Amino acid sequence: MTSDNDFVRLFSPKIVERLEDDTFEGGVHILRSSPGGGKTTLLRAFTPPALNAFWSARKTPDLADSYQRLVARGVLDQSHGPQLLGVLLSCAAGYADLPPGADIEQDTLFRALLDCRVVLRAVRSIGLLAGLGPDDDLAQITLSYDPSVADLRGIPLLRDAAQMARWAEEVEQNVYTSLDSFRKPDDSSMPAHFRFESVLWLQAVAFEFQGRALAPKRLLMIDDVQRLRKKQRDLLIDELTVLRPSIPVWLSERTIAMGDDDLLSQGVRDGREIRHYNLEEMWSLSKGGAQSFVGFAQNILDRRMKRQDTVASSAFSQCLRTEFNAQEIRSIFDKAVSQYTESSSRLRGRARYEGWLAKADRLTEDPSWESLLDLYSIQILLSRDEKRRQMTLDLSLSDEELEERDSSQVRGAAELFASQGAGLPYYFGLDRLCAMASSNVDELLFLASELYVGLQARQAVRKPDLILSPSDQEKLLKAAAKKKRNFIPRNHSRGSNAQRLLDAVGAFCKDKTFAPNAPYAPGVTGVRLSQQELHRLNNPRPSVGQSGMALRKVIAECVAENLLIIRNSSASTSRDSGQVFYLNRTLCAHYDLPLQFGGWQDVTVVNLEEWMNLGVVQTRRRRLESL
Amino acid sequence: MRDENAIQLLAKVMSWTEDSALQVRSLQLLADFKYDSYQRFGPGRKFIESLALWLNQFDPSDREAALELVRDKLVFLSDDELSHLVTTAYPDLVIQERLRIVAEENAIPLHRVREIASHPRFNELRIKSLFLGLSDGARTNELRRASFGEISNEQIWQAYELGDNKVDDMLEELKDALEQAGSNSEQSRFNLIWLLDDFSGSGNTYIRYDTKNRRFKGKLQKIYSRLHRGDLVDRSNYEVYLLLYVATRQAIDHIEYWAERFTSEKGYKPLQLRVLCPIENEVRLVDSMSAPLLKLIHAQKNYDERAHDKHTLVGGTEDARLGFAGCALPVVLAHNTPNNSIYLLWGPELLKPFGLFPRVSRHREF
Repeated sequence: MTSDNDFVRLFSPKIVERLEDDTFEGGVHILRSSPGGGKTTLLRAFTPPALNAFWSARKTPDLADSYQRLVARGVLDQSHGPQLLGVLLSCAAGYADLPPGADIEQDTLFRALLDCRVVLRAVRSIGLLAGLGPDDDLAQITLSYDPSVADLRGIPLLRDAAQMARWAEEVEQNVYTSLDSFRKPDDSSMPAHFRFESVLWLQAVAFEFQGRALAPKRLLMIDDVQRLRKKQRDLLIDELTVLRPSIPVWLSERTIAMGDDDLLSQGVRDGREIRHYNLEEMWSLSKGGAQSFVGFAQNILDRRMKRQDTVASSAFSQCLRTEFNAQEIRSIFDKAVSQYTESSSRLRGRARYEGWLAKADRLTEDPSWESLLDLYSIQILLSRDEKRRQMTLDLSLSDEELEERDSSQVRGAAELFASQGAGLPYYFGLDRLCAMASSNVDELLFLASELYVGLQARQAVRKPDLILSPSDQEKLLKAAAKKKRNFIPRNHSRGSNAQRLLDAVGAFCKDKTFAPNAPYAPGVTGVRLSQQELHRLNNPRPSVGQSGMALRKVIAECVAENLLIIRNSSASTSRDSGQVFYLNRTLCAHYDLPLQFGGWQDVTVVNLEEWMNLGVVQTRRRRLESL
Repeated sequence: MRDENAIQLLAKVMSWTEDSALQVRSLQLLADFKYDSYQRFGPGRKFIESLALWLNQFDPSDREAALELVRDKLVFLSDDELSHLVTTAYPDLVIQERLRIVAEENAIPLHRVREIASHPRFNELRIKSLFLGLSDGARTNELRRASFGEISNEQIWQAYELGDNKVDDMLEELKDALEQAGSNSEQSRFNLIWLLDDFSGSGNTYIRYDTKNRRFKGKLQKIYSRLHRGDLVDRSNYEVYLLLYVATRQAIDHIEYWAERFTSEKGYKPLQLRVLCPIENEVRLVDSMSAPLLKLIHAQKNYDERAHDKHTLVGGTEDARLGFAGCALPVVLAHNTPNNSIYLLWGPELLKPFGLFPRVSRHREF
């Protein structure tokens, strides 16, 4: 955990920019991401210590960007400092200690505990905004209330902050006393809590310190909601939504199967009062697409580069070379040419391909990156044409036809084929580093740290320049991907099953990707379950009950840990809708797959069960070929 | 030296390429986490620099094996780890032993902990326990603090040789404590003697048999003689425990065998050995060593003859190449490297080659 000053220096303001405007409007907003997606960091940025730190350091050049964005959001004021009281609570401890059961008293205890903690945290936070230290008297802060909350039954409308804090502390103690006692709680010690009144209290209270109003804007943030019991979580979300708060209430939780049904069908009541945001999707599906995450990532990495003195560079991307020098291309090109010579020999003499082969032959004289991709593109297109079943006149294919059939997808596949066939580095550069991070900050830092170690190693052996070549980067990133894959069994409750399943999906995708005609260019990186198959997954037949249940849990855990990324797939004339489970992009590097989303293949639950239990299974075609 | 410079020095000594230099991270992590805390490094020197200078003494062809020794074989017990062992010693061993004795004496099933712990004899045994340190590594102060006030100042002493005045003070305090506890004990003497030490590699320090003079030697022999004077211990009812925080299997076997022979020959109560962290034989650098590592350790040029003296002979080996008594340990303790480890780890700084974690000897060497 960094200090507040370090935190604001490392915090990238680009995430504030990506937040939609309505996240600051009244209502319940659910923020989701897998671990490391940046939820807690985002929430922490709006707490009083962080806002005070942003405000104090507003003249620091490094923080000008963050400061301006917070001003634009109305969180900070150019003259008066923080204008927003961010109240952050975590559900990581305490709430799940409450006894389970459907007893109404348990709901009351849960509401009482949350209410008193919101009040207590709000009062302490306002003290921090007022510049009061932990030992200063909170009584200096006076409270006044909007008439709309005159009928609150569970929270007293006291007039000074110190009294309010004392009340909240007493209620918290009473809750725990009633938990520890065998008797029912004494009704006199526990006010009635029939709804989450702290939200109403927070939106209606006004704070005044030394004659000036403090923080007119409010934001309630509740982190780690997935740590609540399912019943508590449902109660919290339902009741908060019903209250229709006029202030924004952010609930942050992991992308995880809350109940058994939520993972695979999370499209619940999106509407005016409750909105869902997935932080990873926010980067990948928003305006600007993956490029917006690249900017965010670059910002984070550069901030961290500035805080170290081992490598003399202030920009991380400057340490990653993305061009090939002539020598590097030469050795790769020679391999590619010999491969081409061998594979094209059977087509020599066929009039239909004379033109294309002649063009390819000319390319072999010009060792360059473009020629390399053209050479592989031609081979893919030759293979595609060969596979056409329709009868054709054996007329020579023209250069125009070649141009016409070429596409960015084909070139994408060509680059991938060149990496497999001739050793052309594929996983390098900031863009691909960000793609491998799957829009997850933790993964980004993990991968970047591996590259950073590579820079340290160069420095250790006193290389003249601290820059990693494309092949250096690929070597380091593939090693990191392998490490991630090997760590799966130690990180999951069903780790071995998860690893077998992912390995099999990886092998399956690779098999489809590297077919000579690249039918799904640039490649396949996910598998799709149709609605019918999803139904089978959610309702396993009794005959395969154990295995079916295990598969559901393995997939749920893989999604929760960002090892599989879910995207909805809409219906078309030839297929019903479904869900695509894309491999984590870092794992794609381990399985030699492209990093783009898009290519997927339909599979069945039976396929997945077989893969989960048996691991990589040779495809039928391969089995037949090996006979 | 700055970390970056030390790493560059190490890379130069090892003639590393970029790929092999990637292991810098794990070495730096080990240094930050543990090895930098070795207390016998010279002022301002840290692990990576010491490692580079140490490796530089060997032939280039031997350096990879030397690095393998450090990277894969070394067992470093940090100060925090030893402190943790000391903290667990009282609740996990001392109290459990008292529970066992009270349960046996009063025929109470061992699982009825509350009944045993509330028995007056349980408290009496607490008062009648004496704790003696066998070396300055015994950490008697930490053990006393870990007991949360159950061990008084007059029950614990950092040495096993007690002067008469000290004994008188202890007995006086014992008498007062028993009266205060309302004990009807007839004798104000100690029942449980706990002998404490941090590490044993061979066990020779505690008990050994001098074949030439046909007599037992070592600390245990002296302690038992002192206890049987009868002024300090209730000779009709006492137990002696040797509590070692860390000990090798070789030391455990040696102590158990020779202590049993010694006590039965002399008619003393048998010694009860308790070890919190045993180091098993697999750790020794004899069975599982790779050929290059074997060559490194045994090469004549990698050992300084001045490292052994008459004390070495007591361990039954001609030289200290594999450490005292041929223990061949790869063990380093944060405050000093035991001489049971191989010479390459503990060789003093003035010798050639010197050790990676140079040792300060208890005996005068120069």
